[in-house]
Amino acid sequence: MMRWWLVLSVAAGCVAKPPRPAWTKIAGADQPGELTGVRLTWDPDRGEVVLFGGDGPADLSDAMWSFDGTRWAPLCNPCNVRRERPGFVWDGSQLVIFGGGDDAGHYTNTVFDYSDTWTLRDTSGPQPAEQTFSQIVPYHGALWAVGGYASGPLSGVSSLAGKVWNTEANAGDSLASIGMGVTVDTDHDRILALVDAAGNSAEDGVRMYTASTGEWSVVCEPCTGRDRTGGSLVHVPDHDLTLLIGGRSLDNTYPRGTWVLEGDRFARYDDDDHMLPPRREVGVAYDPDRDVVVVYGGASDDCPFCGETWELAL
Amino acid sequence: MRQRWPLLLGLWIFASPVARADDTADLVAKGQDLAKQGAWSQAIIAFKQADAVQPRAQHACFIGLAYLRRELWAQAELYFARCHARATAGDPVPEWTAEAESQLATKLGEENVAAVTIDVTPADLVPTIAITGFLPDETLGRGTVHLAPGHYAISIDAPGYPRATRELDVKDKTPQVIRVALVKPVVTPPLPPPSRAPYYLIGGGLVAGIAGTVLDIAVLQGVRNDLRHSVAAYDANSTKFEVVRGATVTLWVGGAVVAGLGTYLALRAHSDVAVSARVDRDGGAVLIGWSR
Repeated sequence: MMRWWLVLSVAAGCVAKPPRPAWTKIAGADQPGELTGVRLTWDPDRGEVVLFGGDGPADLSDAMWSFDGTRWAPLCNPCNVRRERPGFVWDGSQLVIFGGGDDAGHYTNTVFDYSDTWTLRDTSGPQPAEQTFSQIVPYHGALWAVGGYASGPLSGVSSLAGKVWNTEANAGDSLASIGMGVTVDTDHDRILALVDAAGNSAEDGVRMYTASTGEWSVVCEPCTGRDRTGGSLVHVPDHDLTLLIGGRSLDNTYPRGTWVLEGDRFARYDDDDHMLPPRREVGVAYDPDRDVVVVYGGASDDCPFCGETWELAL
Repeated sequence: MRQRWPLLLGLWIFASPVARADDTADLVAKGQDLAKQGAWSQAIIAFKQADAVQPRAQHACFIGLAYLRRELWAQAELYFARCHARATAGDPVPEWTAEAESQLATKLGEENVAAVTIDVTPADLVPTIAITGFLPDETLGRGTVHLAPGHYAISIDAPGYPRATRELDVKDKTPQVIRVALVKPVVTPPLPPPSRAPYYLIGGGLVAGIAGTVLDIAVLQGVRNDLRHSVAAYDANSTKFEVVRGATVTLWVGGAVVAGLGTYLALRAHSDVAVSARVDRDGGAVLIGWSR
């Protein structure tokens, strides 16, 4: 006897109303400690957001943590990298650290790869400047080191394909955020970078690089109407959102709220009732599995080294 | 006694008032001549031909008498019974019949034949009973017939009833009764033509589902993305989202229910159909199962 089944189904997830944009503090998720200038990235192998480094009240952090949405768990501590404000990213196959200051206070341009332990990668080609405030992002099969700070804010850009560095088109402006000021907008195939002079001058701009033109150009300047330094950018590919989070103005005040890129300008994303507290130099990453933006650490007047985890549900 | 029968038959034949000029009379006269010659089978044929032209009691009695001479007792019984059944004032039973039937009764008592009674119900039926070994025109009504040992197939027909058949074995003179209860067939009323309504329901449900999907893709998902764009966009599009979502879900759920109902109606006549619904936080489903 044949048995047949007909299923007519409706998935509620497709029609569920998204939550109203609001930042939520994750209570009890402060294990990495009080840190500013931390780096976050999404690790698809683990399915978790991973955090590296950061400046603590007493010392530089040399630890790496992963976050499951509730608690942070150490992956290595110490990790024997010891870099201050390096670039940190998932390059498509592994976690990578680039640049940053070392224990002796010297800037570096070294690259470390993570596979259970961190190992130094031999590189060749025209090396980027030894630097701190480093930013590195994966783009078109290579790692792109964008800006940074050496003897002053940098605007140089290099790409690392395997072990070979190449010099790319100069960004034409200072890209030296202590936060995470560079992100890849996969929806528009471009790198977006906050103009940041490391607090030496008022900046309120965003630049972009597209592989199709091979050049950097201005997205907006001014973008929000408030200058800032130490801000962070994150792109959310599932929703085509680019968010600007945190930062401090030259007058030592903090621009309020989170901002979203709309074409060639930024608009306020959240509202005052549910915004992230004033922060600069936060680590930020998007968790696609849970559809949330995760922020850790940072600094503000009442929180010189913040040890809090915040999430923005999308 | 047996030696006297040809003489008696000859007397009866010569004394019979059948000298008519028509075909029937000729056939009867021919049968009588054949009988005088002892050609009983051919005489029976002639009498039957006459009987076919004009059924008469006299013809039946002549046939019965001829069968008696052929010592086919059951057939003789049959035709003597027909003779009596047909008899009227204008066509009376011949006078010699009583003597012939007496001879038949004597033979039936002496010979190794069994009285077989075929009892057909309902009692008001007029059955036509055919027995193997009898000619096609030699069917019986209800009653008793004497059969020699052997195997017989009996078929019973009656107007408005399906034919019934029985097998019969006669081994000795033991009387047998065969009871046959004819049953009218159950008349199944013709099925009404299948309704198209279930298929209209299925089609309507599918159309509603497709419309819901089109609405979802073309409008709802766009508004949903707008909600994520910012708080201001969320507040501006919140009501619109809920209205469009309500319409979309209504089309989906309504379409699923209507299509499910149509499928149930279309299949229930032919299958074991089970319909169930499930709703939880992840969505809803209408599950229709059937087996053939």
